[in-house]
Amino acid sequence: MKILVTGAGGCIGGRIVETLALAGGAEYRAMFRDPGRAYRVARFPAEMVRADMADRASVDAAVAGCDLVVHCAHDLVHPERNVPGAENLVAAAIDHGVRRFVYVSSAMVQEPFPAGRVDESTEPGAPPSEGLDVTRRDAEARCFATADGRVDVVAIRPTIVYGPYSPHWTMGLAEHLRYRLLVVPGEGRGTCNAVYVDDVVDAVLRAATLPHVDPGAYLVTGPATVTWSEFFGAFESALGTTSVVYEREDDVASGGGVAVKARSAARTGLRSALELAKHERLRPVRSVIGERLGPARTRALKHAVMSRAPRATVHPTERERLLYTSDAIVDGSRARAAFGYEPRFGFDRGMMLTSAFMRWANL
Amino acid sequence: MTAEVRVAVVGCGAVTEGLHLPALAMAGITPSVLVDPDLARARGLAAEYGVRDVVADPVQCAEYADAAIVAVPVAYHADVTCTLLDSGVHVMAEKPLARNREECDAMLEAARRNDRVLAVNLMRRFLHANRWLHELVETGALGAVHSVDVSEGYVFDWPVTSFGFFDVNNGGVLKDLGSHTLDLVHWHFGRIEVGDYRDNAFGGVETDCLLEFRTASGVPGVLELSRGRSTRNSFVVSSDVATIEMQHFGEFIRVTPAPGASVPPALRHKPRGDQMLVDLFVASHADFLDAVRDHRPPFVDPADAAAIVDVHERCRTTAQRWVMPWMQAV
Repeated sequence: MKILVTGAGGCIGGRIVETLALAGGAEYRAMFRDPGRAYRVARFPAEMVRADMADRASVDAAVAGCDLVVHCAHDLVHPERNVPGAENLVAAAIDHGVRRFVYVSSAMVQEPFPAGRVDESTEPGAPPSEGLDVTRRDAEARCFATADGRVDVVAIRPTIVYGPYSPHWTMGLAEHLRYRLLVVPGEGRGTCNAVYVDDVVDAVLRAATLPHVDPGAYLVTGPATVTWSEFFGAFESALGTTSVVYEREDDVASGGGVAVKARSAARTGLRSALELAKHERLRPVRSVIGERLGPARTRALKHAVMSRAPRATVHPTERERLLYTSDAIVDGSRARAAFGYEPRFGFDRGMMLTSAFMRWANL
Repeated sequence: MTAEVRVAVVGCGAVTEGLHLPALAMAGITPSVLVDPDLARARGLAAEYGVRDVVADPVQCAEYADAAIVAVPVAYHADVTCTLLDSGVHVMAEKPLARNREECDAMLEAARRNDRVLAVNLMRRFLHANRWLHELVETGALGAVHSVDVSEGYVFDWPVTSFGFFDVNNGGVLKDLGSHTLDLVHWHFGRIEVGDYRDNAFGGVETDCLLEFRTASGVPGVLELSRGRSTRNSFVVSSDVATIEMQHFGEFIRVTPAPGASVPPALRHKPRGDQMLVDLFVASHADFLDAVRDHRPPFVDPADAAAIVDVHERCRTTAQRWVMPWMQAV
């Protein structure tokens, strides 16, 4: 049994390859569009192939000889490539007699969530005006439409994926919390359906490798929900920063409440001063400071200054506003029933490992 | 002064495109030939830099060039270099010099046998800051050194054109960034005795490694390297006179007097930190071509580069597995 993993330079794809390599026993091929993204997977004797999902010929070469395809690649920079890319991969899987095609989708395809329990049959509400990557939903739909019963397609819809290398909910979030103010509506009391990346990997590999799994879509979430304030608070604690401003929903809708305005105003003066300090004519002064402090202390000073001021205030997109104020609880029981998915990582344990990653990565 | 030396560039990968060709252009040197089995790529670069000829095989180099910059994958360094030297072409090889001691010895012997220059592109020795530090050590101005602590790490963004860069023959971050940092330690303080070494390779090439070592005089040192994250990124030397911390391209240098010590004048006059990476390539090329023209040894003794390959080998054979904390969950 040989598994093709697309998007192997990414968070979930990379972790799937790591898991396959460490567990042993399964043959696998890791697909990258950019060979430079292979540095993490190259720690293992992995078979690596360069292919662009938008290029059918290179996709054919990548799929040939594989029994299973796990499609993790998702282009955030050129999202218009995601739908034709998914179609190319499914078509190639059909042509090469692939047994099962697992598309790593996202619970985002069902957003915005209605109130209460959300399962795979729940219809999303009216789409937000901005912030929702609709190519996830369209690519998933194209996978099923292209397959048309000729290859089994299983779509895994993970919720809020955090953990090592998670681009949005760990690395990007850490950068926001380190250098910016993050406005969160609903006083952070909304429900965060967080799932640690290794649980997602477990679900994907089970869905890919068990002898029988019914085609279809499966929501994958963690063992329990947390509130958004608990979620962001855990990251703030790990990073040693206080960067989230919790607002009432009507404050955000009106462009920022009292807390945001007060903190922004207090920082405006210092922000102006630091913008001035970036001026080229002040380079000698910066050099003197750097020489006196040395690289390590200069870095610490930069962090100290940046954590106190001139931080831009990041307001939620419409999609985030709906997400942060939702009380929806995602139900993962279909995945449990279909392929025995049981999340292993409670939020505390997941954050302990995520914190270790963030320390190592100097985030 | 170096224009009369006809220069070939062998290998048209990322380092040639990003640094060797721009550096040669900055020095007003147009290579006489580019060599790469991918002739289309070679032709593309030749058109960009006004190079008249391209060939696929290094054997053809001698027709076109007196000296060659060899920037092929490490696995081919020895073969290509020995072929060129045997055909009378002087060589500057990229780092690391080769995969192992046997290949290094073959290259050194080929240079000796043919009376040709063999240089190695360990260009950080041309950084003002490193020369300043070397002089402080050599003259004794720094006093007795107590410890060496080197940390270098970036999230990998080198524009590689194939997976060959990550081939086990080419090595991981130890052979990549580590060739430079170990060379500086070796240059300043002499032979490196490998102590505890660990990395995170699992049959492939590591992104992270940690080496404890001792210098020839028994000074303890530590080297931390990464191509997966940003690290402290500085070279720290502590002595009974002062602690010097400098960034790897000399941007910042900090001198902290030891308790009760005053900073000697030699440590007060710090060098400028305005050299870019391409400037170091220009300096390295110039030294190589001057060595060819003046029939003198290059500034970087290839035997030093061979000693670093020995360190790589000792690390490889004694490597302990470095399991990242979050990976224990698998």
